[in-house]
Amino acid sequence: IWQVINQQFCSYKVKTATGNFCRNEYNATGLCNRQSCPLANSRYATVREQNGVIYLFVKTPERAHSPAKMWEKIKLSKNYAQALEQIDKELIYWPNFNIHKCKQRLTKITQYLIKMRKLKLKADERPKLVGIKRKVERRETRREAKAEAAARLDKAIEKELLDRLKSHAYGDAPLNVHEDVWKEVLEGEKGELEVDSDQTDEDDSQSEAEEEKEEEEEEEREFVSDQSEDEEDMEDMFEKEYEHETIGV
Amino acid sequence: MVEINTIKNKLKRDELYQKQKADKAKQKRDRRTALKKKETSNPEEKEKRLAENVPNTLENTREFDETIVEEDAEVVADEATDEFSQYFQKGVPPKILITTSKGPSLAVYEFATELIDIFPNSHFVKRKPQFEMRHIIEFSKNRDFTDIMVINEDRKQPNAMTLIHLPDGPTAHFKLSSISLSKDIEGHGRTSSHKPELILNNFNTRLGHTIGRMFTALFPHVPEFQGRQVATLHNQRDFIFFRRHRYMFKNSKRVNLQELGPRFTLKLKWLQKGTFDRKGEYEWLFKPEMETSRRRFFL
Repeated sequence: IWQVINQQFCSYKVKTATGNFCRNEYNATGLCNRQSCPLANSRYATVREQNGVIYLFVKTPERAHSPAKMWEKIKLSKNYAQALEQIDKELIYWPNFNIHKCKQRLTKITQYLIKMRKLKLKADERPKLVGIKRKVERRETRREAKAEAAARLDKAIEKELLDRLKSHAYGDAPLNVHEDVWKEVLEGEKGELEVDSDQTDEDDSQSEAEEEKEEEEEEEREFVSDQSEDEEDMEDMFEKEYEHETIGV
Repeated sequence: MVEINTIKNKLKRDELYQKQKADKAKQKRDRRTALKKKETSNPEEKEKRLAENVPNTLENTREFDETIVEEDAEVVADEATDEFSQYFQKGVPPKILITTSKGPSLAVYEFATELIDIFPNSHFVKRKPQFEMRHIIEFSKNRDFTDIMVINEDRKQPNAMTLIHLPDGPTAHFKLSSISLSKDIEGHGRTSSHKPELILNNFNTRLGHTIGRMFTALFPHVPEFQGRQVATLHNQRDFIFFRRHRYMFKNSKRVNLQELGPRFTLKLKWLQKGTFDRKGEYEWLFKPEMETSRRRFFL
């Protein structure tokens, strides 16, 4: 068989600049040689692992007629030393080449399995690689740009600062405002109160002279009654809210 | 009237089309100037017009979200006893640890320098490769830090930030985008060491409230108003924009703002209860399949 494989065609053979390789899974070395071809040798052995368990595969000429049962799968011990002894026992009286290559494979396989197990334990602490989803990224950049435009940050910040100033959140003599501006704000407030009281005055029908006198008095009175009126309104609102809530429930 | 699209001659068709466009623009201009004239003398008409033609924005037509908080006593009670009570109730001042992911690059260091400037009482620590997150959390707890900020990078640029509130606080992970450092901002001002004022806008839902409180807990309780510095975190459509300004009240209606410091945008990717643990309990996790509707926002 070897003549055919080597000279003519073997589908597992890979020719490269450095040499010939064999892609067959049962090959003990990776090379395409007369000694290490699992097809050309009627007596052959390899060590392979499946799902983290290491097996010894043995092929003998007695089973050459039934390809389905050709390879004998022997589970090796998890203990490295014992596995070595097992190989020696199973492949007793075999040529040294096969035994040696099997042991080398066993060593390599156990080493890489140990490494894999260690890495898995540390996987939590290694940075997790997450793929960049192109569509999601594109959508998000676009939405961010639109949100920024909609946010109108400068205006929002200015509005918030002015609200805080007007609501006296900075106290009565704030450090972050120029005196003149603060006076302007205070006068603005007084002006609003006066405007309110003026409007209520106009509703009352009285003579002008009396109006003038009573304006001053009523300003004070209006001031006082304004506050109590507000409270009354608030109570009404509060009651209305209650009604809403009960209906809701 | 000949339909413009039936004229076969390209030159003539062009000419007529340009004329039609110019006519239309002129009509629009005339209408608008007439309206403006009328409204400068009569401002109530302008208000009426604006009140009638309110445009539909995404914010106006936002999908109903049951978690939006509006003066809820239950929420207030919850917030009095949540993980930030150290800051809000007991007044423990914030102490922030800023680090990076392993093996950072120059852009990350520059950004970290800016961050140290933003938050008073923050310390930068170089990330040593032998320490994992859980070690860092342990060390900071021993040294009484209240928050950890970890800047993550991708391809030499900072792309994410994880904010861990320390005594068993929530962990939030944000995507960082549109970072511009102060040196890149035109006409930027110089910061001073005064404690800044804080503005938090539009954190409406329960989730928004948690994040808002998380940000509040990064800044000192009492701002120094004479410094006239304000740091703003504005949430718009789930994007949190960070800005820093120095303000000056020009009069009672106008404020002048000079931009200081970096600008960046954050987008919340997940929120975890407890400190950082990859297998821990996620209070909120963003998945692209959640954004089914253009009008649905979570923060």
